[in-house]
Amino acid sequence: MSRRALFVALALCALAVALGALRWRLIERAPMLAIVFDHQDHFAVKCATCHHNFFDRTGNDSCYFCHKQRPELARRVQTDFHTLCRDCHTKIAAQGYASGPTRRCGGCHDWRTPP
Amino acid sequence: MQTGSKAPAPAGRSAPEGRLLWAVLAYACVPLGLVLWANGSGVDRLWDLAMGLGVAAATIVALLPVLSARWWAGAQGGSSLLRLMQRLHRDLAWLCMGFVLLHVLALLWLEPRTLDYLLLSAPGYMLAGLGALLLMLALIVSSSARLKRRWPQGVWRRWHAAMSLGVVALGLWHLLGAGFYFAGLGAQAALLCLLGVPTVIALLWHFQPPTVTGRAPRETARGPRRGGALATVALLLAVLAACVWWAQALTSSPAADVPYPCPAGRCL
Ligand code: HEC
Ligand code: HEC
Ligand code: HEC
Ligand code: HEC
Repeated sequence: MSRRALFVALALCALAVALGALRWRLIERAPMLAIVFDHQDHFAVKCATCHHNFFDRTGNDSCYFCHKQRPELARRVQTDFHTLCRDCHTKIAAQGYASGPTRRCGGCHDWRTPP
Repeated sequence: MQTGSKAPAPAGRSAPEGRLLWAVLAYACVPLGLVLWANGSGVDRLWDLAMGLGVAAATIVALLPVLSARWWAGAQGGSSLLRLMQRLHRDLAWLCMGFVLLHVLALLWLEPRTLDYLLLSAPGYMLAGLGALLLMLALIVSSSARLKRRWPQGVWRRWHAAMSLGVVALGLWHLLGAGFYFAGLGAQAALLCLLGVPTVIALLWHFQPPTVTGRAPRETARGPRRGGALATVALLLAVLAACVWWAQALTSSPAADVPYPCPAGRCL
């Protein structure tokens, strides 16, 4: 009984590790989603708030290209961009000003358009 | 004893159970109402409602260990009380499951993009939510099956406790990780208060059961159900405190580093 339990536990651990590895793979290779973004809406925001690469010399690619190419960045691209874009919108909306999409995914990701 | 959910209640719900059910619903709707009405502007009401359903489900989960037949097993003339608690616990579990399913389906319907959050590549806190849902399903199915198949009480109880703890942990990860409404320290503290107080009461009872559980009624000057009454008062106070705290957290102004609107209209 206890040996079987040990075996089952080991098998479960192995499964968890394998699933975790697969998960990172899937995240790194996830297709980019279609993004709605217009500089017109963001003239009140400093360029440096978003274009850190212009200033910290990380490179001059497009944001998404760079962030999706490097595996270590690709793993956190969703968190990084949601924090940057959505949290700014939420903060501004909480002050009662017009802002971009705060909750609804469709405001930024036009899900009907394939990427 | 009543079995499964399909067994018809003999003559409708008893009045005390109805009242308790409403009380729990009211408690669970505190966060829902706050999410809906005390929130700032720029918020989508339907989306908020869907989110509030999730928080309400979490609140019910937190209350379930307190509202368990276990504490009333040895009460004097306990059989009716025991039944009532068993039924309440079961009804609330189903209700909770319903809330969670509504929460998921409503979001999928409002935003098909959220389908991404049910896949393996979803962020951890979303997988945690999915895991909590599956564990809840396992809890409900195993508990209904137990009544029919007469599984050994001890084994079932240990599994039930372990899985419930899993639901609480995963649910908390999901709530805090998604961070839509519980981003600020105040809001998080209020949430922990709302969900944590019942949990702490259940833990305290676990180590020192309330007097009603004693097999033979103990001779104390306190009277048989003082523990329950005290717990209720503590709970109510905690709810009040949480409401005030939370309302403040939601209405207080956000961090000052917002670069908009700029003093001259533009920040370039
Ligand atoms: C709110 C964030 C944000 C702000 C503020 C912002 N940008 Fe951008 N910018 C982006 C994003 C995101 C892209 C890539 C999206 C795209 O290609 O449509 C981009 C793309 C660009 C590109 C094209 C780069 C390329 O390689 O394709 C230029 C040039 C640019 N921005 C200049 C500016 C300047 C100048 C400012 C300040 C006036 C500015 N941006 C302010 C987010 C921002
Ligand atoms: C050539 C590569 C490159 C480009 C182009 C680039 N980034 Fe980055 N970005 C990075 C790297 C590298 C980091 C990690 C920096 C770190 O961890 O300190 C990063 C980090 C970030 C973060 C997280 C910041 C934080 O504090 O954790 C955000 C948000 C971000 N980038 C947004 C953007 C946006 C928006 C654009 C385009 C307007 C952009 N990036 C363009 C390489 C790039
Ligand atoms: C520092 C604050 C800030 C950041 C960062 C920011 N936004 Fe915005 N965004 C705004 C504001 C303010 C508006 C509203 C402009 C207006 O309507 O006057 C807006 C508007 C928008 C809109 C238009 C909404 C509409 O109704 O037309 C979209 C789409 C949007 N943002 C997407 C993005 C994306 C994508 C990013 C991340 C790359 C981003 N925003 C980052 C502040 C920000
Ligand atoms: C304020 C704009 C905004 C909103 C609102 C928003 N996103 Fe995003 N999201 C982005 C940006 C920008 C990226 C980074 C670009 C990318 O990777 O496609 C991103 C990335 C993602 C990714 C990762 C895609 C990848 O490349 O791996 C997923 C998944 C995602 N978002 C899902 C959602 C869901 C689900 C919602 C609604 C709950 C949502 N987003 C709401 C702006 C937004």
